[in-house]
Amino acid sequence: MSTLDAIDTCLLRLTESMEGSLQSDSLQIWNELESVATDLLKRAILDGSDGETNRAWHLKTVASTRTTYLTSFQLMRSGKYYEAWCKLEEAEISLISLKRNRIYQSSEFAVDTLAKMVKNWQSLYPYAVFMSPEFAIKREECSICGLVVDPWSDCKHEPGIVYRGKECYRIVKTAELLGMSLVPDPVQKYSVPFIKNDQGERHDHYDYTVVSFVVDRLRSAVSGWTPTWTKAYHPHELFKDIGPEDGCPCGSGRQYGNCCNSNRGVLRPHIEIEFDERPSALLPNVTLAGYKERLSSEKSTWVDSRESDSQSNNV
Amino acid sequence: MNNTLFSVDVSETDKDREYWATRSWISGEASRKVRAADLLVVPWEDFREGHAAQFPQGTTDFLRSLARLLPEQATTIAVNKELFEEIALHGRQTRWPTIMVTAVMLPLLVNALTELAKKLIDEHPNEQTVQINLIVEGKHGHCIEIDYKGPANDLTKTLTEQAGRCLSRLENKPRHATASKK
Repeated sequence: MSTLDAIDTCLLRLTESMEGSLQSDSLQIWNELESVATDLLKRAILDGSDGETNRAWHLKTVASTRTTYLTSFQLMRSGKYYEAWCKLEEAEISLISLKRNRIYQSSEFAVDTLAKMVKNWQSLYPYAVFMSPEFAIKREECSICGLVVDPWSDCKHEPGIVYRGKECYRIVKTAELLGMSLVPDPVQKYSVPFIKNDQGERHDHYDYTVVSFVVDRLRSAVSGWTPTWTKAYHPHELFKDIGPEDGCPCGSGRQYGNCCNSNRGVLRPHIEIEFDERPSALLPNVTLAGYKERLSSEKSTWVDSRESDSQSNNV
Repeated sequence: MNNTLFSVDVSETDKDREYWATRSWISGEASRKVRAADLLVVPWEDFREGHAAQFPQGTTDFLRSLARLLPEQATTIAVNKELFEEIALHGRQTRWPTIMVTAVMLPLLVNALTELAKKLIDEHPNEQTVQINLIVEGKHGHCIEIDYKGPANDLTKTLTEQAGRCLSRLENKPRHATASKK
């Protein structure tokens, strides 16, 4: 079989696995497809034309991105939220590469749909600040031609662009670490700050209620869902330990007694999730995130007081 | 933690072309090119202790893009090759280097920046913040400095508006009288 025929066969298999945009959620199938596409890319690099090699790269990246996403979903299902977060970032980076090096229409492999799903998952995470390093970069080289990259360099390659099946990036050869900061919008999303326990081990202190709420209610990794961020009144019972002269838990900066205390609740961030497929009736359709240290009985009271026949669920 | 989402600061500056051609990190042929350049990329001075001249990460690629979009214009970087250094900063935002340009050349530069901003928006819709410092040389040697941080899609409109407004104000004023700030 020629390289071109092999590419067409691989393309057909990928397309069949994606019939209806996001159908197959079998990690086994996608691992197999990734393996086939990886072999195809190796072969194309050896004997294919530039166009064939880049098409093979595209197919391999489609398959590996899908594998990464499905792995992330499985990790969320098993409660390994930070590990899942790192996989989501991997998928996000690959999706940017795919969009930047478009060969097929992005709708063909649901690239835009998957990018939206990754973004939706990331929006549910409780991480608000990240560690971010600052470097003085004194020398860097091109991953494609190996030349030094600076304004006087003869290197013509552009980072993020694929050349003969290989994506161009910069390799920093000499750098000086200047500092470390906490930022809300990091370059590296994996750099989440954790606290350490008494034994010096990493302790994950974050509250993943919202993530688990969604992942528990999805039938598969490719089931559709849409989050809507809004605000809702949270019952005053949840804030019994806050005095009227303390800061209002709505975050306005005013005193609780002069702010939300006279309202029917405290106006706080709220998220509604619309599931494309109805979640199991055994699961509650409302939950509270961020109050687990405070109380548990009121939670069930509030949950029970909500309507339960809607396909839209609240967190 | 303070995370600025949008800011524009315009000031008069006495750091003219001759200033950038005579810094300690530039000499010889490079200085001559600075004096002759249509578009000049200048470093951040003393941005970090012990680093007199630095450029934001990605300056090399930015310069290439600019040269590709404006092939007729002479684009130069104001530093000797051996002292070129980029700084990778915190946070996911696009930082472009400081550019010096004459008022006459400004529309061409704005067109090129519009193209670059479009590319950014296409790749990262709704989340692309751009930071850039622009020095515009007006009549009689007056220079204004526009420091912009905000959405990519507001960039070029803001730069054009501020440059036009502030340069016309300075036209009848003796050079370097007082600094004005918006």
